[in-house]
Amino acid sequence: MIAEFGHFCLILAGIILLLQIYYSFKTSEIASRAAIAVSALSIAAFLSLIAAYVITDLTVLNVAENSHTQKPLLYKITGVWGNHEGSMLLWLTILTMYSAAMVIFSRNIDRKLLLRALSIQALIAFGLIIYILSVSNPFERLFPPPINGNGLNPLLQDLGLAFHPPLLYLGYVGFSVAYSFSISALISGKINRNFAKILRPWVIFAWTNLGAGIALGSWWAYYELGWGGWWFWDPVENASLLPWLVGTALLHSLIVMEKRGSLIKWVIFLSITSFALSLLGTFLVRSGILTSVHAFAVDPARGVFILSLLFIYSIGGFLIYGLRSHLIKSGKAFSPISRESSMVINNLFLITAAATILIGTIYPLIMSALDLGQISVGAPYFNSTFVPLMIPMIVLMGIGGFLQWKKAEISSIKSHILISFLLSSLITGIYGYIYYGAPIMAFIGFALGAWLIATSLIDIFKKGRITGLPLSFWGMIIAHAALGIAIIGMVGASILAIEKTEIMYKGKTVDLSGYEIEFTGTKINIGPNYNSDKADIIVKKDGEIVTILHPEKRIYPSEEQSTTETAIDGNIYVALGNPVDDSGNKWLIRLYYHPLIQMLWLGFVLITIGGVLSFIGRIKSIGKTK
Amino acid sequence: MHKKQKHKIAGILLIMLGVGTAIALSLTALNQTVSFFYSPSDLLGENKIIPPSNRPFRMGGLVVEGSIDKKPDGKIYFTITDNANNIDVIYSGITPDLFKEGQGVVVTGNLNDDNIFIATGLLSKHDENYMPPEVKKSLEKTAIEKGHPTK
Repeated sequence: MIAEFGHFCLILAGIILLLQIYYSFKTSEIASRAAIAVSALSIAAFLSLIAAYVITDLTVLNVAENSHTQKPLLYKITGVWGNHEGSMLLWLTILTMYSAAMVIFSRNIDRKLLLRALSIQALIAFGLIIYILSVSNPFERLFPPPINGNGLNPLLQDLGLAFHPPLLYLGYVGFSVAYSFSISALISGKINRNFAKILRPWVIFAWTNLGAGIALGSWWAYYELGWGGWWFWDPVENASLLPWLVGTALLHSLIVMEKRGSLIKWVIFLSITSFALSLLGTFLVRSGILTSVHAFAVDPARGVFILSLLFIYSIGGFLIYGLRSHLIKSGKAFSPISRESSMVINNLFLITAAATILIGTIYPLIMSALDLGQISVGAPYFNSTFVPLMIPMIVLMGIGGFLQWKKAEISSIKSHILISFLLSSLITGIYGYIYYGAPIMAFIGFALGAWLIATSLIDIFKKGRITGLPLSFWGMIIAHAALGIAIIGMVGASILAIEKTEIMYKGKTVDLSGYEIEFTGTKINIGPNYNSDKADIIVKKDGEIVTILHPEKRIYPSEEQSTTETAIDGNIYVALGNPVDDSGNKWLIRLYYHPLIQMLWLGFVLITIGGVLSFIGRIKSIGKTK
Repeated sequence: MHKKQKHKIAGILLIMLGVGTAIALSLTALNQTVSFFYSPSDLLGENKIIPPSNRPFRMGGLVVEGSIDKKPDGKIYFTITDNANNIDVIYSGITPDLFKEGQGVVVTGNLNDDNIFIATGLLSKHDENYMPPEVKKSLEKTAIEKGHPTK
């Protein structure tokens, strides 16, 4: 019954969506009520699917394929979006929730602008609902029901990954609001700087969630895949980085637009692009055409449907932009040396970086489609294009905060730059002393990270006070300094990392960057839905025990799959490989030493906090102007 | 008006410079870093392809049943097939969780003079039913050549 209820809710939501489209074109208020109804129905459908998973209703095909009675309750629930059908339903649900939120939080804006934007939202949702109902129905029944389900891929039975897709989708889908409002504004042709005020909170919210989602995914890959890396330049990772980079550009252009009334066309263009890339992000992954460590098997009919949706919405958006953008008046001019200019230049760096990543990500797909050979583009390409673009951007990012709006005098910020330079040299010097003899790239990385931290601190001093500063200022300072902290962590985790693969047996000790790593054997361990070999590894420094690590090799019998559970303590990372002979006493073990890795995660957390503060700051300032 | 035009030109020039740099950087980088994919038949079959020797390339296919041999020194010997030609592989390192006989895999490395593939990387997939697209394509190709098109 639950499945039929969910299915019914979806069909009803599809019908009401048609009403939403019709009435929003007629600029009737019925459209906004329809948006709320659609949202409620989608949530009901999503909750029905969760309920089917919780009770493990095996007559539902989706449950039988992806769940199992013995799975812990948490993973029964998170398993809902761990598969294709469920995750597309989550995408739809979040989209309709955004539409409802647009109705609820846009009481003071031009009704026509809102209602037209709702029709765009409804068009996107309608395409998706047709897709779900026709080829990706999570409520499909199975007869006769199997004795038990297939279970969820054990790699996905993990807390970090459980919340990675919802956050990512809150980000991806959040850009739909910027897209819909922009298309709506383009159709009317009337856009002024107030439009930036409407868009900013939505963009900050989406950007923050997307960043947090990417960070969580990176953290998951780090500890779960057992390869000792936090970023692989994998097509799926790139696909999520693209809208984040363009979203970052949008976030900063919106500030310029709101403060100065400039860059209006550029903001509209970025709004459309960020959502188009979000669609690319979800749909490339979900269409199954990527070769990726994250790719999952997909039915080809779905791939074609999904890619058509991607083309319709992105090309449609750009087409409207091309036809209507001449109606937008050019903004006010500003001096080449001003805060606006620094943001514009950094926008160019961000867009260029996004373009190089896009080329590297889709080039193999194009080559393959044209039958010109099977190639892959890996980390060397991305490192040699992305990194050089980020270096000048980061230098400028530090200076940008010192510059005044409209026209800045270099002479007035000379002293700030000089002090920041001295402070960052000092920080770089300390790191240089600790990591003496490291490659030159490490020092460049330290210097860039230190520069962002130093300029952020000097920016606070420049204000001359700590209290009474707006939250959005703190958001900016924290996010900028956090990027600096993360960069120092990246240097540690990538350039300074030490990796060893060793065959270990009881009593064997190896040296890892001054630590003695001793293997004392494995034990058999029984988990709730898996069995594992659990190793005991003693980590000593100067003869004293620092920590004992227990990496595991798990076997999930119901899924017939094994996973590697790494053990990490601070900078030491251990992954248990496979036994090298039948005796089971000798194991292949991978050891990593990642100095400064904590700063990477700290940086990611602080960037998110910066986003949250900016968001709260925006909401407060909107409340004040009412 | 004059000033505005100047700004416009400066803006366009900046964008062109940015896009130009991006394309130049991308293309050079692509040329130097792209890694090609070959099937066993590409390397051993009638129309043999000589892979570039200066950088690693990728090869993929199915792991032949019964071919996995784990040596005490941690090296793993196995054979990859595309159902037409076989290539022996030596891989040193930890195998991914889903590495099994009969599974589609992609290895990264180079062929030595005895036509043995020395692999530095080994990829199999998260998902039981997943087949790397390149492997799928090459299997379909050999099936067609043999006259048994697979569905």
